[in-house]
Amino acid sequence: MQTPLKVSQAKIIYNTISVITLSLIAYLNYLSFDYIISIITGGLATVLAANALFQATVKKKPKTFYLKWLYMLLLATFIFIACDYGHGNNIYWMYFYPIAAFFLFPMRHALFLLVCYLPLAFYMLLNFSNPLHQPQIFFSFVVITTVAIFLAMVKSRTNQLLEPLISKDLDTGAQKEKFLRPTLSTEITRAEREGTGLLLMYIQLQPNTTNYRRVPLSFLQNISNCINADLRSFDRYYRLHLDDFAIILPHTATHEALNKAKAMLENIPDSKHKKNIQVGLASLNVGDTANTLIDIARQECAYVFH
Amino acid sequence: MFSISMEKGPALTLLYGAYAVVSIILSVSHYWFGHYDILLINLVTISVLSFAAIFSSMNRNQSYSKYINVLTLTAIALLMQYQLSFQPDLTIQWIYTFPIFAYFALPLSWAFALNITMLLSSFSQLILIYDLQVCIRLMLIYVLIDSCSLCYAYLNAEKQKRLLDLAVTDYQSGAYNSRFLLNILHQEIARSLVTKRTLSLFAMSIDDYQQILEIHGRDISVKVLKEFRLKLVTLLRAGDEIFYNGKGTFYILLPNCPMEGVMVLRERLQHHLDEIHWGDVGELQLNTGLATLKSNENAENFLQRASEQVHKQQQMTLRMLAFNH
Repeated sequence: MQTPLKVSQAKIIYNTISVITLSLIAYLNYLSFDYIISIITGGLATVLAANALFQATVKKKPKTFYLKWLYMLLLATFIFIACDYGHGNNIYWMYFYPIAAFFLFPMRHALFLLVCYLPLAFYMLLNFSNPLHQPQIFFSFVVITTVAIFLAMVKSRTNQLLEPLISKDLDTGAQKEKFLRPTLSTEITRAEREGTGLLLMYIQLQPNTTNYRRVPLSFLQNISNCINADLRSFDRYYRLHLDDFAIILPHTATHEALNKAKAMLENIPDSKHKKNIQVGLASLNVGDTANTLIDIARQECAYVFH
Repeated sequence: MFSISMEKGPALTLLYGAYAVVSIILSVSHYWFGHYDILLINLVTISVLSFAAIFSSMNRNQSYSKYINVLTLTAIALLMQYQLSFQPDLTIQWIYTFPIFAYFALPLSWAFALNITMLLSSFSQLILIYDLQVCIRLMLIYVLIDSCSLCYAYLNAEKQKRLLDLAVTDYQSGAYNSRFLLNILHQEIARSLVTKRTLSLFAMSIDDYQQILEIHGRDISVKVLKEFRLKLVTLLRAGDEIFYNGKGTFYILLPNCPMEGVMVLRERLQHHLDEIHWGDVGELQLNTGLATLKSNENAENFLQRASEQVHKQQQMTLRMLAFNH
């Protein structure tokens, strides 16, 4: 069975193909004495090559959004210069802008970019292209743009449908918060029916803080790994409010939960956030609901490294 | 919040329709500018697209509807190739629209194959019209548009696949999916070993679900599945979880429920469900299977045992039907 390409590999392959193609186009432009277009095409190939190298070498990518905007601005400028110097022979470059916009950006931003680009596209179409070819070029531009919009719409629909069905938090591997109350209610029903114990452990990372700052993701992942390592296969843990965790421990007594909490927290690597950790436990009593159990566990939270 | 979204089936129908409308406007402009030699090709394209739009809107839920996309795209590719010999300058602009359209309408592998064929075929024609340098440049642009479209479509498909892999709920029935069932079975078996309590699995299959899907279409079948699950929820103990395998079989996991309890539950469920009339589908023929966890049994075997019982009951029903006839 063939293994599908990873997303990063696909991006590198795409960049490589584009770099080779653009370099060849730059060379062809050079041969036909279109030096300016040759330089610009070569420049575009260099940008893509740098991006491919960046994708291949840097594992932790910074989330710099402005680079994409800069790239789109550069692309629009390049398309304009190519059409201007090429006297209509390079008008096909205008088709790339809508594809790139919907490829790189979420739908709302892509539509904004497209609306900004339309006056330039019309200007280039009316001024640089052969009048006899204008309807056909306009047709092609409309078709490519429409298909790109439809692709983005279908993508958006698929994401909307699938996101609520996912139970795991992608950053930490914990279950998502919205699944805590239903699962806890089920466990409470089951514990009451079977007459067994149920315990909820609550881990707070930034209690009583007035100066709220996000806990680094790496620290959250460390905690998640430590929690996961000490759980039985039927215990479940959830990430709450971005940097809290709740753990459902069926068939567990308080002293067992305390030992478990101690084992989990001892394995957490030292960090300035470690001393802020508070842990609270709530044991199921008659009349408890999911909400009361969560509230009790949160109220019971106390520092463990002070 | 600003948000536009659309399902792929209706989007494709709308796209064919929009493509046909824009092609009509293009035909008028071709007539206006005196491109009479390609006017007929344009009219044929409009007919093909209009037919595809109507056909796909009428047969959206049918299994054969995907073939109309292949036929439409192949027909358009052939028309493009035919037009290339009349008006190469104009046609090459039209050809540039093909990759992104193909990757939207077809599965990736089919679209890729069609695009490669298109590239080679166009090159073999253009080489006779332009000099080699121009010809290579035009084809490189095609390759660039093709690779952009392929990458865009591939990343979309990968993201969708990843989300599907992470999903725990079956989007048709609203019950948990079969992958999650296996996960939960592993957890419950481990729990059962710790607590020494029984664990039972009850399977309930809608007979000839595939046939219902083919006869009544997807929308009605999905509605039946949703109603079926909701009915099960009302008939089960609070906290019993329902799973659906996507092929017409529901599984109910029953912790701390011995075999006798499951048999009582089966009778109760069958009694209630037999009385229900499921809209256009009518009455449902149900086959059931049940299993209680044995010592040292793993999740896969446990699930298989329950499923095999369903299968045996299906065969027995068929034999009974054949015997009665």
